[in-house]
This record gives sequence, structure tokens and C-alpha cells, in this order.
Amino acid sequence: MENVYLPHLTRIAEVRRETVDTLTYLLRFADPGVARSFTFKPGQFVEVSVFGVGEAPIGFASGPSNGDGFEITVRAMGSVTRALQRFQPGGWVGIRGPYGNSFPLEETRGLDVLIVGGGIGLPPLRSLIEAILHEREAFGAISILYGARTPQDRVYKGELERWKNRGDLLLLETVDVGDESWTGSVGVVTTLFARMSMDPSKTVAFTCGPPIMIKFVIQDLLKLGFPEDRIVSTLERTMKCGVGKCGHCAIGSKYVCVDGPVFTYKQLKDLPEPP
Amino acid sequence: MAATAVKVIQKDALPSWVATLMTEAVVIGPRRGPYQDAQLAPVTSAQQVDLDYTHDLLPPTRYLLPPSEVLFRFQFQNGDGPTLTPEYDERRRIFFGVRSCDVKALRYQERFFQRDFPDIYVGTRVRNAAVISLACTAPPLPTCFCACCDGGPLLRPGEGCDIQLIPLEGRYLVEVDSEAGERLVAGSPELFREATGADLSKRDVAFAGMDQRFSTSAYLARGIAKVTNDAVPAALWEELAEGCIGCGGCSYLCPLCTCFTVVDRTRNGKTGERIRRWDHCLLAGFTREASGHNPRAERGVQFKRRFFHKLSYPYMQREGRPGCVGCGRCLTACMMGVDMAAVLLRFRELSRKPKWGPPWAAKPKTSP
Amino acid sequence: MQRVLTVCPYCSCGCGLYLLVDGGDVIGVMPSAGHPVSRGSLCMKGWTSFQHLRHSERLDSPWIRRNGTRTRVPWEQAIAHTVEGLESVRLRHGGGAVGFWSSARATNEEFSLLQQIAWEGFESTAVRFDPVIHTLDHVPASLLEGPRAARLDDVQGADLLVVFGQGFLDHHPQVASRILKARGQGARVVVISPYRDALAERATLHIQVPVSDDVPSAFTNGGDWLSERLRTWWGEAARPVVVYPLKSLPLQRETALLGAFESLMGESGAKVLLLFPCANSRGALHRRAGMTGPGDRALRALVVVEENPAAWDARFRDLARDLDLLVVLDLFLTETAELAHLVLPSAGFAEKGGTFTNTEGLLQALQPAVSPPGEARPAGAILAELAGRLGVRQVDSTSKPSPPPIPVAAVEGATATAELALASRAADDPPQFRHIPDRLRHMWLKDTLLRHTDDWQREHQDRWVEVHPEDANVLGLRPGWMVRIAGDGTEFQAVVRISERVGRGILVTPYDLFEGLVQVERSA
Repeated sequence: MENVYLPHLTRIAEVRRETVDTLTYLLRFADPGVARSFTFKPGQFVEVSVFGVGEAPIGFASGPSNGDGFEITVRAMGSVTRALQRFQPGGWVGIRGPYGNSFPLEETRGLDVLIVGGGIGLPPLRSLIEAILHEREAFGAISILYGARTPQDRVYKGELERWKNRGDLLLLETVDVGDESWTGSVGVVTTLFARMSMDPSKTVAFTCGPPIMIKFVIQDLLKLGFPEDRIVSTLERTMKCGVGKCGHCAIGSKYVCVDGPVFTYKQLKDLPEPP
Repeated sequence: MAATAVKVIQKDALPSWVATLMTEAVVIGPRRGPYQDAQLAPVTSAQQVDLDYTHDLLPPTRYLLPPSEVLFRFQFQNGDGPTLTPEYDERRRIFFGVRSCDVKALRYQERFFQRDFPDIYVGTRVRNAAVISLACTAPPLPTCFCACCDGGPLLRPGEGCDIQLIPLEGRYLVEVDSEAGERLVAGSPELFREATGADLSKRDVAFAGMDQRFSTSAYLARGIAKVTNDAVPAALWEELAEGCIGCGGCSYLCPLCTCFTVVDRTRNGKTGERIRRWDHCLLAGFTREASGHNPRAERGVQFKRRFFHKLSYPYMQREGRPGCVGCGRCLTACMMGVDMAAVLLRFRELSRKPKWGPPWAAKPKTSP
Repeated sequence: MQRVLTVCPYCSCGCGLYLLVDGGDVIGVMPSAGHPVSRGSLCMKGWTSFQHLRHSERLDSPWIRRNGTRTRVPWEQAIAHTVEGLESVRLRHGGGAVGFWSSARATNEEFSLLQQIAWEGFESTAVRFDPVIHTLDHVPASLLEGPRAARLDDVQGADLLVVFGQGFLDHHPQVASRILKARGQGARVVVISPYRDALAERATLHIQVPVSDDVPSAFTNGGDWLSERLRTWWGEAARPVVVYPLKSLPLQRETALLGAFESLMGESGAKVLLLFPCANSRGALHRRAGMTGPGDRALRALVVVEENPAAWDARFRDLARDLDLLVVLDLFLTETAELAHLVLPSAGFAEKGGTFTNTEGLLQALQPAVSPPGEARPAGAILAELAGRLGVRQVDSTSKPSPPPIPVAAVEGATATAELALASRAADDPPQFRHIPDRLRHMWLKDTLLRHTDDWQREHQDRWVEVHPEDANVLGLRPGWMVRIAGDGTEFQAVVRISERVGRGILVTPYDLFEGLVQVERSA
């Protein structure tokens, strides 16, 4: 029997700073056998170990077809993520996973895609975006709306430029509060809906970000006529095992680590407790 | 495996059987501790075993999922990656005298930990455990309510013991229910004889009138309905939760509670261990996230959540049975009177206007 | 998995609990079902009492601080240095300049040793054995022992309970439990406290007054009862019991109140339960002689056993500066240990034997279940060695008298309706508030062991203060706002909650021991 609590070892191959408190790490498995056989889907997560400090559940931030390891983007919040901030390339990080369900990519083939991200909600969406762009022709129109608090808080500044410069998708950005160098929109991310057109009857909407943002995004999507099972989001909960045993992430009769973290709005509505 | 092989062992032959069992494994058997505490604990001498006991306040499931255990140790050396060394508990155990409620709980936990991502720590201990259960012909404690919860007092074939002992006068019926059970009996063939018709009819007599002896007033079914339908007023949850001091006793001692937390411990950052330790949900820290956001910050919603986990139909579907076997340990553990039986009683009263209730049932209007 | 029966190291109830031992470690605890105090239950402190034992910051070797740096030294050197230092101070300043302080968690045997070292070694009366209570001299003996002194089970069997203070569910849950059970059996319960907590909510009558001020010193038959109803009920009761946590009042008022209790007892079956705060407060205070406080400038050397005055007494740091020698025995490097010249690692409650005396006077034995980590040693062993080197006659610190058996009280379930009245006496003019310290909760928040208990720390991360809605209105405060609370020499911050449980013009918090007028304003 495999020991699901025993992490695989990875080494940090690269560290990139996204914002003052957020870093992206490229991780590669130390064991080539594990590296070869490791696959995942966008929306899933791993339990990241800093030995001696603990574990934290972090979603994949890169697409599954990169082949050369995978990326996670981490904001310093608790003891594990703060400890991780001090790690340099070469540092050892434990990884367990992939866990959780994934974004309904198969069901989205042939349809248009709307992606609405807020702040630190963009990383799991980036995994989705990279998977979609890897097979661009399998999907219809792609629109990405991204809102951050300030221009400094934007993650993946480089990718945002690259996506904007592709000819085959629409990318709109906004910030809550601008600065001298910001020439883009100012306002909450829902203000971007007015600047684009979409057909809710053949679009799947994916949204991740702070809970308050998600609440308003979903409200607007419903008003625009999106069916409840075509609005897809993710839930966060504190987790200790990631495999549906410790009980910390349970909500209603679901475990966020096994039945989620990806949920449609229809499923979220039916939960007996507020997310 | 059908319990077709029914044997009989005389009461005074038990020590000899236990002595043989002790050559095979650690026998976790009944004895009295300080303050007359009933304990199911490692037996050091076969004479200690006395099946005339109630039940251990610590459920035997805690031998399979201990209060804390080391998952693995880690060690960094010379700038290489850490070596991770897991620790598995391969000790062989024969549980002797487990009550039916605890056997059902044991199998519940076995299924829970086997599902989705099998837990190798619990799985190893289950694999190395044999269970000889002891049926109850009368409730051993006034706090028992197993009959309300499909928790006992008898096990049917296939419900998870290797051998079920049924007490008769001066002897025990021995219902073997697995190959492992067969082997445990076969090791001392001279101590057992076949059960006669007279023995079997004595068993029927022993269980006649069970309805009178075993309380059916806990109304678990009504509790299940109320909780599943979210038909319990928030004010009642808040009132119950106000009496709760968050000690965790109900969860630590519940044979079906399985929640745990995982922590790392290290003195120097180079060596240390990752530990799993029992945890309970009537604490704000159980759900507080690193950001500080807490979806269940108040005890009222924590209390509601705990009973949803124990009693709701979706969980019954998920786990195969209600989350309570009526063992009554939470009634002992709770010094504030907000245990399962007390809560079920309050649910019952929701359907009717209470003439009386616990002292704080009617919350008065306060005015200066 | 083995079970070792011992006694909870936290409050003075003294629950019997088993240490669960496997592989040389205490992996958990559980209550004793038949024990007369625990009766199969424990509070959160008891249930988590094993978590600090293998905390990664446990001290495991002696330290000496020289020239600002701390170095590990062998025991021999640490003991020698301690003995030399103490004798040097005795030579230069007299034995009375050497003080001996302890928490109330030390065992009776450890107190005996400490006392002997102090008296016979130094003729010093600078001895303090409890952080909250410094003397029992003002307590009438009849309220501590004999027919007027209540046992815990007398609380449950009472037909009238007069309870002083709030927070029993936090600081003495086994007492709260018995009060509630008595209530369930039809007893009348009167709670006198400034804060209407869950216990007061379920009482028959809550007299909401700031205990420190408005409780008359003459609480006697025919005297100035707080309420006519209470006087009537007292007359009607066959088994009235008063529950009073010691040190709820300043010394003078408490002396008067205790005197009033004594005269109240009269002919009836009335009893008083005087609640001590800590696991061995009662054992400690029986051995105490003389008193000294942190303001005593005559001290030039101090031995501190498992206590942490630097964490809650602002004057301690000044005192420590003037010491030639500060020796601290403890399990962790506390704020006091940081100031020490010598730190000696001591063993935890699960790692040593000895006895505790609970609040009723019940003597109970600890049993060691595991060895202390590294070179840590039981405080008694350390003190015995010091005593030997100082030439003090030693008492056998390992004696364990067996406790007398006590019959378990039967528990009945019954009901009564709740009748609640509030008499609120507020300070005259908001926005000035009276801050009333919740001393016992404060003690637990500063407790060294609890600060190294994961689950406890995880639970007590937020600081909040409850404000009466009318006061909040006047000040324009909203729930969730951070406020600054400041008085003469005190200042702290907390998050506002609006609640009718606290009286107008009153703040009850465990965050500061300050008692007096404070201002409240929103933090920037």
C-alpha cells in the first residue's frame, strides 16, 4: 500500500518574484521515475511541505503539458508559506499529490471560455489557461478578465503581456487603485463585463479570487444569463491531509480536498454552509 | 462468513484460552484500573481477564488511530535532501471483550480510512488486529443507548468481529465469524465444545425482552431527520453551544470520530518528525485559514456542523451508517450536559411545546 | 499503550487523568471515569496537557549567561555556580536578601524543600509560592477545613448556591459543571459578577455588579444584603453553599467578606467553597511564611521555580536589574529565564512524582510516565542537590502518601425554569469605563505551559473586548473595530464586540491586571 502521507522530494529550480509577498517556484522531482509518471490537471492542488514547519495546500499554477516540472505561486500568509519565502533555487520541498478534482476541461471543448481572475486567484486559472492554449483550436472564443488591487499586486506581469499580444484571445485588466504609471482601467473586475460581449448560452465561465470578488462576479454572471452549472469556481479551506481524512476541509457532506476544490455555482448553492 | 460454527467455553476456562492467545499477540483485554476504571488494556497475566466489566472510557478504536503518532521522521544531511523514514506499527493485537458498539465503530473506521486514499497507518494496525467481541444482554452502563443507533447489543454475522462471545450462565457462546476466528479457537480445541440446543435456547432467553432493558428513547431517527432537513433553529444551536466549553472530550472519546491535525516538530531544523494528533471541530482554530478568514468562527455553527457530520443522511450514505453507535461515552465526557443524548432530547422537544426541559431550555427576555 | 494515573497540572480542581504512553512518549491523556473530581471528564486544558511535554523548545540542558551570551554548561558547573552565588549574596547582604519564588504548580515536596532552603539555609522569609495569592493569614481556618468548608460534591448537593465572579466555565469547569447540575436538580443559583456569562445566564438570579467595588463588606445576616430575594432564599435553604474564588477582591475587602461569610455560616448546614487558582495553590500556601512582592528592593538574589513574573509584572524587570544572581528553573526559556544568570531545565508534571493538594484539601499523587528530555531534572531533585550543597537538612522529596478514598456523588437529572433578573450598576459617566481584570483568565493566558500548547495557542489568537450597546452607541463604536484601551499606566488593544452581557460603563478583560478607570477609543 502506498503511503499517502509521505511526500516526494522536489528541488526548487527557479524562483520568480511576482509581488512584494508572492513568489512563483518551478519545482522538479528529485526522483526521475516520479518525474516521468507525475501528471495532473488544472484545478488540482498539491500539499507543499517545508520540513520542520508543516504543509500547505497550493494549486498548480502551470499547465500540465510543460513536462519539465510544475510551478506553484505562493503568497506569504501562514507559517509554511512565510517559511517558503526564504527558499532559494536548490531548496528542498516536499510534494504530495495531485489531489482534488479539476476544472471541467473536457466538457468545455467547443465552447467559448470566460476566465475572471482576481489578485492571487490568477495562479490556478493560469494552469487552466495554459492547458487551453496548448490546444487552442479545441475551444471557441477566449476572454480573460483580470483585476488586482493595485498595479503592484498583479501577478504574472510577463504572461499578461504575452497573452495580450496573442491575436487569438481577449485580455482585459483593471485595478482597484491605479498609480502614476498605470494607463489601464480602474475599477473592480466586474466593470470589465461591459467592455466585452459574450454568449452565455455557449460559454463556460471560470472564476477565482477573493471571496467578495467571486460573490459579485457570480451575481453578474447570473444576471447575464449564465446557467448555474456553467459557472465554475474554487473553494479554499484549511487542510491538514489533502486526502479526505482529517476533517478540516469538510463543508456539508463534501470534502474540499476530494470533492473539490473545483465546484460549479450549482454545487456551491446546494452546500448547507456558506463557503 | 456465516456464524454456523457455534461453540461453548466455560467461564473458568477463559484464562487458559487467554494464556494461549498471549503467545500469539498482545491481548488487549478487560481489567479494572484505579478508581475501578474499566479498561481494555494489554494483559500481562491471563488471570487478569475478567469479562464482568462495563466498557473502557477510551474506545478500542484508539488503538488503531492513537491520540498521536509519528507519521515519519526526517533528517537533513550534508546539503542533500532529507531522508524520510515512516514508522509503521506492526504489533499484533487480539482485542478480547470488545462491546458490539465498539466493533461496529471499528469497522466504520476501517472503511473510512480505507476509502479513496487508503491510510497505511490505520490499515497496518487493522490488518494486525483480531477482534473477539462480547455481546451485551443488558446495558453495561446507564449511559448506553446502542439500540437506538443500530449500535448493538448483538452483532450479526459479517458485522466485523472474528468471534462473538455471548454470556450465558457460567459459560459463553462462542460464535466464530471469520477464518482468523477459527484459528484462534483451533489453538485450544480442548477448551471448547459444540453448542447444544439447550445452549442456543438459553441465548434466546437471554435476549428476550431486550426492548425493555435497552433504552430506545434517544430518538436518533428524529435527530437524523431534523439535522438533514436543517430544521433545528439557529437559536437552539447557539444555546447548546454556549454550554459547550470546547474540551473535545466528546470527539476524543467517540469511537466514530476520526478528525486529526498534522504538525511538524523539530529542535534544530535538521531532524524532526511529522506527527498526527487527534483534533476536534468545536474549536475556532479547526477551520481558521492562514489568511485569518474563518468559515466557522462561532461555536454555534461548529456545534451544528458536528451534529451534521454525526447524524445527517448524506453522511450516512457516505459512511454506510449513522455517526453514532450509542456507546454513551460523550455523556460521561461532557461535564456540561450537551452530549448526544441531551441534544437528541432537545430535538425531540422541537416537535412539541415543552412543559419542562433542561434548566436553560427557556431563555428569558432580559431587561435591566 | 500504557496508562499512568496522575493529576492535571492546571486548576485547583485536581482532575484525575491518565497519561497515555507509547514508545516512551506521552501520546495523549484521558480522564479517569471513577475519579471523584474528573468523573470521566476534563476541560480543554486537561485534554491538551500533554502537548507541551515534547515541544521543540523544551529546555534540555543548563545555561549560564556571561557577558550577554548564553552558554550550555554541565550540571555540576551550574549547581556549583548557583551555590557560590547564593552564598556570596548571603555573606555580603544577609540571608534575607535571598528570595525564593515558585509557581503554584510545584509539588508539596518541592515546596517543602524550597521552604527549608529558605529558612534553614538563609533565614529568609522572602518566599512567594503563588503568583496570585500571597497569604492565607486573612482566611478564617473554619472556612478552609471542617464542617463549614465545602467539598466539590457539596456544590452539587446544594439547594442554594451563591457564586462570586465570572468565567467558571473557563477557569474551574468542574465547579461550573456541579453548579449547573445542582441547578438542574432544582437548586437556586445566585451569581454575583460584573459580566453575565453562560453560567450567569442559567442562574436563577444574576446580580450584575462590579465585584471589586459594590460588594458590601458587611454581607451578613441582618446586614446589607445585595438583594432582598437573596436574604429570603438564604433563610429558606437547608444546604446553602457559597463559592468564592480567592483574590477576587483586594486584601482588605476580601478579609471583610470572608469574615462576613464566617458569621453567615451560623447553625444551618451552610458551607463555603474557597477556590484556589492553581493545581497546588492550597498546598503551597500552607507552607508559605512571610511575604515579599516584586517591589521589595532588599532582594539581591532570587531563585524562581517554574514561574514567569516578567511576563505580567512590569516591576519585575526593575527588580531583576538589581539582582546579583537570578536563577530560574523552568521547562521553557520564558521572559524571566531570558533575564536570568542561570537557567536550570526542569521536568514537567508527567515526568516526576510528588503530590498536589486540590482546592478541597484532597491530597493526590503524581506519577511519572516518561523521562524528562535531555538533561532536564525534576525541580525537587535540583532543589535537593542545592540543599545538600548548602548544608540544609533534607526531606525525602519522593514520598507519595496515598490519597484517602472519597465516595462519588450520585448525579440526578431534573429541571427547573430559569428566572433571571438584572441589577446593573454602572459607572456614572461614560465614556470613562471601569476596567475589571479577569484575573484567572489572565493567569491562564500568561501560563508558560499553555503558551507551549499548540491547540491552546491556535485558539487564543484574537483579543477582543465586549462593550455594552449603549456605550458603543455613545462612543460610536462598531463591532470588529480595533480599539485602544488606556488608563493610568496601562494600555492595550482589542477588537470590539457588542454585547449586553457586560454592564454599562464596565469592561472585563483578561489582558491586563489593571483595575480602575480607562478610556476607550478607536485605534488608527
